[in-house]
Amino acid sequence: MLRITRLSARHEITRAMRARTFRLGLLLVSGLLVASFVLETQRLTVESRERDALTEHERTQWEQQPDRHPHRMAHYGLFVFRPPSPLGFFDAGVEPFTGNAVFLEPHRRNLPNFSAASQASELARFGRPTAAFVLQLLLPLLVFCATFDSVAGEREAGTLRLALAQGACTSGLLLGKLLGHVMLVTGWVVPGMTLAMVVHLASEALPTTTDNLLRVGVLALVYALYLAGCAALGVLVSALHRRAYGALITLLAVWLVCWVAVPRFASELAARTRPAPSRAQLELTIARATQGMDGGHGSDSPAAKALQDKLFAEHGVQRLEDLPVNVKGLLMQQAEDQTTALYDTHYGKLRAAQMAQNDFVQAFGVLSPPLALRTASMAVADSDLAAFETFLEQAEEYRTYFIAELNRLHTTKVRYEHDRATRVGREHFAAIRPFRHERRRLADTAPAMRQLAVAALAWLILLGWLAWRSLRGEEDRA
Amino acid sequence: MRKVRVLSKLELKQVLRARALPYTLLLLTVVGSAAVLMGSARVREERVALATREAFLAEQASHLVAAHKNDLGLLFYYLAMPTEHSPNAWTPLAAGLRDMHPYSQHLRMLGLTPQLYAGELSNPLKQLAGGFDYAFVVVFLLPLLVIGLGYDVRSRDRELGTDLLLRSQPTRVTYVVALRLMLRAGFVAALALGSFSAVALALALPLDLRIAWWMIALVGYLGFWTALVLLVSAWHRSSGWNATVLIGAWLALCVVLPALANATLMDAPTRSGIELTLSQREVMNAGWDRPKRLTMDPFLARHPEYRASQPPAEAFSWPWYYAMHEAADLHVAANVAAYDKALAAREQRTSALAMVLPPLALSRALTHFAGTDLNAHLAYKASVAQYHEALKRIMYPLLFGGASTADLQVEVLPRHHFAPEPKQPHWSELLSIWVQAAFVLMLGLLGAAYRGGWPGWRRLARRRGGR
Repeated sequence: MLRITRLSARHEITRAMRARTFRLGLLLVSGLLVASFVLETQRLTVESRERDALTEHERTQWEQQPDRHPHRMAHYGLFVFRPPSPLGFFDAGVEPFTGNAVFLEPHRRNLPNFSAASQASELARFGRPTAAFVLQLLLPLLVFCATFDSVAGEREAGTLRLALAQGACTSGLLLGKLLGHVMLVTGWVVPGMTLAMVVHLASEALPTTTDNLLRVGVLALVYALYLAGCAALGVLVSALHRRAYGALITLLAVWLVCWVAVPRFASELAARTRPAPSRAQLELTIARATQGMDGGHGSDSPAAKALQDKLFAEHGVQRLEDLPVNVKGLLMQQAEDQTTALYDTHYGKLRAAQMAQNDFVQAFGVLSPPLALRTASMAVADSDLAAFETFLEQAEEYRTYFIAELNRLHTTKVRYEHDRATRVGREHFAAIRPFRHERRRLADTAPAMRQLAVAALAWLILLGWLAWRSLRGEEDRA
Repeated sequence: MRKVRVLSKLELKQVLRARALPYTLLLLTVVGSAAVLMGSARVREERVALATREAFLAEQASHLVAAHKNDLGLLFYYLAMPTEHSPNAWTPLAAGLRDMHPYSQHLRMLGLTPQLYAGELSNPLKQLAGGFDYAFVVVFLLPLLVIGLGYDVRSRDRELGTDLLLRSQPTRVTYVVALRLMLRAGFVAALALGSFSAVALALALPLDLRIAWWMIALVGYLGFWTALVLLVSAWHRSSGWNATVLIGAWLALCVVLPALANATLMDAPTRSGIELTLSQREVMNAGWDRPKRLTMDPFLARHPEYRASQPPAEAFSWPWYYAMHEAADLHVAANVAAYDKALAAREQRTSALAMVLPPLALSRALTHFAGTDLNAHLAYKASVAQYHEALKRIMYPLLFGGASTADLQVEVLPRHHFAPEPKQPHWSELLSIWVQAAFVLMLGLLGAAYRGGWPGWRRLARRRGGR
């Protein structure tokens, strides 16, 4: 059987390479892959350089502000920028659709704006030709074009019967054909990908860290398995058909439905059945909730009165001027805590709604292999929604920190009686630490990998069932 | 004539008897209805949200008036007027950029620039997947039906062994093939137009020229794909080869070329977008540290009518506060215009590209009618800027005149409405679909004539050893 497997694998490679359409397709896809690497690397380099420059500019501006009242400085605010993921050249994930800059200010929490897609015409909706896009969507189609006649074609030509009559066993033959195609596709993708990654590592576009190397390794493995699965699907569907072109039509239909239609359909259905608030709705909710809140600027609210009484009792004084601290700064912080909690609640709801949508879509991964792969690929490339959320959380943490720092200055360095007229030295502002974005570690992508594993298992069962059916069918025929 | 009728009847039977056809049609119907239903659900959500905002405004106004009885400036500070980019009857059909840009937002009396660039809060993963609407079904899936019905229009006879039979008939093969293709194209066109009429009735689309233009574009688009099928079948290759090449063409035109063009032609003005916000904020904040006169003097030069009632020179005053915001907006006005121009240029380039990519042209026709394209968004932004200006024109006299809260009636403030109803199509793009369809059809006919042996070509073909 081993010999048969080997023979039939070799035969399969020769057969596929002999087809002109396949060679042409291979050439086109390779060209597209190279173009995608070049274009995306270029984009990523420009973007990360721009954001570094903006981050630096922003910090310089902050440090160069004149002596000011701390609350003025809070309203001057800070912009923080999301550095693009270093593996974004391979899989840009949701990065083109998420904003890149967040303005941090007191009393309110902003969401990032200026995403690449929001500045584009509708052409942006046709997608970005990243390597991940080519590998997830186009390469399977090429694999199907190579595999559709592997068994059915031989059956049609009568060579299958001949081979079986000469004593070749069906399972060996099938396994050989499968191996041949797996070798064909991985033998071409893996070296190409390795080369691309090595170029990126060598040119320091991708920093050489253990984490990055591991990520590249995981990506290579996941994609190789995915393409092998596609090859298996192609061969098995071919084995179930009497005529090659019937197999082709089935495979094309499967590709259209599972690769093109299901991902879009699932996310639209998720958006309708698990609605998340739009900007208009969220703004309205927050406006309702913040109605009557003054951001701590007033001093006659019940909360302000309560705080004053508490301070008077603590320090044994009767007048605000006699307090060792500035009650206005404390009030400001108290109001800030309140609004922060409020925004946490509402953005938490928004996030939860979006997560519910994504989980719903993810369930369709069982129907659509690229959907399952996409999530894992983006997670490993650190360009998925969770990576973006990590940035948002860190930005919010930083906002809380720097506003609290400024309110502390307000409380301790500004006297109540001269509040508006006081200016605090700029060195105090420069002492506020700059924002630093910490990427997630590879281990944090475990949930995405688990989801992939579930979908992969479902597909493995399907492939196994197809294999069993085609083997049985062959025996029946023989 | 009778011959044509008999042949047509026979061929139509063949088309309709295909085993996969009922399933495909069922699938398409389900998918198409789902797309339209989900689209109308989306628009219904939008309308509800818009109505709620309007209702909230009254609530907010009475609250503000009560809370800031003697501080009109502070009332204006908190006042948030809703803006509205209303959906029209066509909006359910094409989401377009609707999930990128908000259809409604707060507009405050503060600086306009930072408020104009707020994005919609859509789920990025959904944006990545792309929309699933009527536009998607028509632009992406309908050509596949054309391909699916027509890819074996010439090759099937050879593969079924009926080729000789066909060629021994008194009718020329080319005629039969042409008839087959026309029947199939007519079938798909009838299906597309019929289903669109049903959609138009269901959504109560207004009876204007848009319906006619859309149908013309749609028929041209189907014609383009039919011509492409003819061109590929003229090669006389196997059905499998035809299907592969046609799917390849579909992939190139609908997926790969637009994506490549997106990556190469569209240099992102990301930086300039952020920079104008940064610059606005510098000027805004520097205003606090400068003598108030430096802000007020240019303001009064622009608005001489308020000269008589100058606010205090050094203390905080609301007129000065809002003047500072206006100064910051004016400072970046040129940059904002340049940014919008860059976006408009991008739209122009997309339009130029649509001239050679029929799928893009068709999808643009629909988003244009639905008011969900970039042009509509730019026009919406311009209308918001105008509205902001109009509100300021109401606010300034009150602030400078020292009016009290009682003098302001929020109910009578003008409301913002933006409801694009474009009636004319993009002429050149519409024409380009038909021109390309005609061009490919000509190539296909030439190919068919050359390979299939039209009278004049026969001798030449024979000499070349063809069939």
